[in-house]
Formats: sequence, structure tokens, C-alpha cells
Amino acid sequence: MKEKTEKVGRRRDFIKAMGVFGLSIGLGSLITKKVEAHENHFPMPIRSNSLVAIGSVPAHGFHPLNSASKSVNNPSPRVKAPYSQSPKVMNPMSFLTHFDLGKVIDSNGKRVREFTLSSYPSFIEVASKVSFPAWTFNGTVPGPTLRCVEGETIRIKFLNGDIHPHTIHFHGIHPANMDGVFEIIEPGKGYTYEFKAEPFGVFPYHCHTMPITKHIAKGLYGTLIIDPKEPRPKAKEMVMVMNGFDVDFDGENEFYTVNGIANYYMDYPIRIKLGELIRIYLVNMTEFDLINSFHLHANMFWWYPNGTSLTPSEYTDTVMLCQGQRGIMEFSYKYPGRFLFHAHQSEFAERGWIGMFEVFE
Amino acid sequence: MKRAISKENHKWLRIISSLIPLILLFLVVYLIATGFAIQAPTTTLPIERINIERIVLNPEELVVTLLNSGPNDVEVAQVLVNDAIWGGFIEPSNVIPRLGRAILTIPYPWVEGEPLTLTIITSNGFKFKKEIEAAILTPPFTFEQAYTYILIGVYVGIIPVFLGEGWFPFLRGISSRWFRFLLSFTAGMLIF
Ligand SMILES: [Cu+2]
Repeated sequence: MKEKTEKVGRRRDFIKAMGVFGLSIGLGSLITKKVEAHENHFPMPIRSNSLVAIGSVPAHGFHPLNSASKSVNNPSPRVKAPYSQSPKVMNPMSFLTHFDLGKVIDSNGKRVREFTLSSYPSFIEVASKVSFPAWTFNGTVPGPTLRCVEGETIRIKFLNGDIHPHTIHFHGIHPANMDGVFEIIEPGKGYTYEFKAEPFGVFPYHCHTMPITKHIAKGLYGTLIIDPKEPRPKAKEMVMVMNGFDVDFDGENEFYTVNGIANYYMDYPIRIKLGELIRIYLVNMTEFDLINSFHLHANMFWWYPNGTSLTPSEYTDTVMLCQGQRGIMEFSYKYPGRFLFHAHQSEFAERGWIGMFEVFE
Repeated sequence: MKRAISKENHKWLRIISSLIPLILLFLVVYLIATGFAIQAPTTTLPIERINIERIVLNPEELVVTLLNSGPNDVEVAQVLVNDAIWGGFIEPSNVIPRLGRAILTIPYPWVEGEPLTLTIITSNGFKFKKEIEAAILTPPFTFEQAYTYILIGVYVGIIPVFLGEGWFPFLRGISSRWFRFLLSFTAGMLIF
């Protein structure tokens, strides 16, 4: 017995020794190879098509390979962002400057501004070729931008066309039963929210059904703008809702966007006139990440937090917003050309939250 | 005569009884293969799986082998390198059939010795990740490299056998009891 174990031991040692010997020779020669390879290949010429100078390559996406084009020195063909989230809905370019003014009606002698919002599920394209099973207000994420004037009575007729219960919770001042929290609207049912629009400013609205994280991450939110009675100075106005999409539902966003499609305004730049006053209603509805931000290139803007004052609080080129935070920015361009705007968290910028202004004379 | 017949019967019985399990086995294999007995569980949910089999690092470029090991065809929609939306070329198609492969070529200025994460996102939002702890150039295939592998093979596979052969004259001299012990010992070692 003793002899046997000894033998086993010896044989094992022998095998080990041979193995280590062989492996070290093998590895040694591999390492030598590696060094040689480095000497052979470096330095390489930098590809001439290195893209935008902020260190991010905006949305390449994919193309089926055309064998002739495959080369390190050939630029990869860019797949543009989709023009809209789905064929029948408003595209982000129109969404940018579209304000739903509702319909002013006479309701028993009372002047009421009436809007309609329906919730229903939809598969939307949130980045080139990436489909997301969203819950939407009126088919898009973000939902429509509602707009009214301070002091008006507004009425929002809500119809839940989804298979899940939902609500609409508006920010602003209104009675308890108009807050969209305790009155859960079952599938197929509706609810009418009616209140006096106050104060003036920019407000998010969103579903407030538990689990709220899910209902917001799925896309049930939008913007309500209440204009001051005395209108703001004439300007080219836009709405930008910053958000994220968690396409694999692991509790973190894969894509970040303004107005719902990654890299959209990079592939379809926003054309603005030199010197023209631009006013952007900016809302952060990003879920999972605590903050988001907006950075404007080669310019500064006046910042009106929440839009609740006509006096700006800051003259800056970057604002940081918490979840649900918002404000109004005003600026005009002094020079023509192409200027980026993006989240100053580079990670968000590189995952779709980036765009471009094209300033023309 | 009677005994002969019964013996004959006995023989046939043995043949048949030895065949029955075989026939049953073939039958079971046939039924499984044709899916007669078992209905594979189906689901309306899209289930996708992509294996990132291999990442070759060339200068300024990653070449990635993808295998679709899921039950459905998969459309590769986006590729992220170090969590940033990136891009490249994919061949033969960005739709990978079930059990099919695709080669992804990504121009990327990777940094030697630093970690690298590759993420594939499919059209249905499935995400597949692979991390490289420290990026180094993948050595190209050369005859010298092949020679090295051949040498390793010789060291661990051929030389020990020849060394063992040296024992042959000694083994011939020992008793059959010891010979059997050594044989079973060797068999045991091999199994080990
Ligand atoms: Cu909801």
C-alpha cells in the first residue's frame, strides 16, 4: 500500500514536471511572439475618419457587410437613428416644436381648455433597430406637450387603453382628487382631471401607479407648460424631455435620449437662425439615474428654474437636473456653424443623449 | 429430440430477449427525434441568446465571433464598447439564424493593458456582455507558433511514452501478479 502511494506520487510528480516543462516552453515562445507582433504592428496610422472631437463616436449601428468595404481604414457606414419611434406617430423633429393647445370649449358657461390623453402599449424604436415595449400617452415617449395659460381652467380627459391600471399625476397646484394618485384608473376606464392652471412655469406629468419606477421607465410621462398671462418675449420655442430606456429591464438604462430616440438630433440636426432667440423647455424624466444634465457648446444660456419666474437665476452653459426637475433656457447664437448639445455626463452622451444645432445666416 | 427443440427454443428466446431492449431503444430515440412523445414547451415571449465566443484584438480593431445559441433568429441592433454606443461591420448578416455565427469587426482605439467590455444589444432589447480583463494584441497565427504547439505535444504526449517503453525489458521479467498490479495501476492513473 505504501509502495503504491509512493509510486502514484512519483508518477504524478513526473507528469507535473513534464507538463510544467512543456507549458513553460510553450508560453515562453508565445510571449516572444507577442513582443514581435507589437514591433511589427505599432505604431498604426490613426484612422482618418475618427469622428467628432468630443471623444464619442455617435451612433454607428450596423450594416450587413459588403465585403469590399471591410477594412480598418474604411469608415464604417453609419446607420442613422430612426426618423420616428413608429410609423404612425409624430417624429421627434415635429415633437420638438409641437405644443398641444387643446381645444377651448364653453362648458356650461365656463371657458375650459380641453385635452385628451390615452394610455396604450406600443413597440417603439428608441435607438437604431432597437425596439422597446413601451407604455405610452398617445403613442409616443415622451407623451404630448400640453400648453395653456395661467388662470385657465384645464380639463384633461384620460382614457386608459392599456391592460394595466394607470393615472396621470400633474405637477403644479390643484385639489387632492386631481392629483392622480389615489384614483387608480383601471384598464378600459377613464377619468377627467380638471383644475385651474397655476402657477405659470414648466411641469412634468406622469403616471403615479405602483410600482412607479416601472410605470415611468415604461414611458408614461410628458410636459405641461403654463404660460404667464403676459406672454414671454417672442422666440423660437422647443421642448426637450431628457430620458432613458432600460431595454433589457435590468434596472439601468441602456440608452439616453432627448425626446425619445438615441442620437436623433445628431443625425437630424436642429436648424436655427443666427441671432434668433431660442427658448427651450427642458424637463428631466430620466429613471434609475439620479441626475441628468444639459450642456450647450460655444454659447451661454439664461436659466429659469421651473420657469416660475421671469427673471433668470443663472447665466451658464451647463445645468444639472434631478429626476423630475426642469426649467427654461434662453439663448441665441453669435456665430454660424454646427454646435453640439449633450449631457455633460459623457456616459449619457455616448449612449445617445447628444444632438446638434445647425446655425445658419 | 424434445430436449433439442427446447434448447432451440431457448436459443431463439435469448436472441429475441436481447433484441427487445434494442428495438425499444430505437423506438424511443425515434419518438424523441420526431417530437412525437414530447411537445417542446413553447412561449410567445422572444427568447434570445448570443454567445460572444471570441474577441480578437488587432491594432485599432476588434474582431468578434458571435454564436446564436438561442431558439430563434436574432437581429443584432447595437454594439457598445466600454458602455458607449459604437459600431462596425457584421458579416454575413446582422440577422443571425439559430445556431448560426457572425463576425463583427469593430474599429476601436483600444488601450493596451486596460479592461475592455463589449456589449451586444439585439432588436428585442436583449443584452450580452463580455469583458476582457486586460487588452493585449492577439498573436497572429504563424508556423513558428504551430511549431511551438507541436513541441508541447511532443513533450507531454510522445516523450513520456518512449520513456515508458524503456521499462519493457524490466516488465517482461516480473511475475504475472505484479504485472497485473502495474497494469491496473496504470489504468487507474489514466482514469484519474
Ligand atoms: Cu401607469
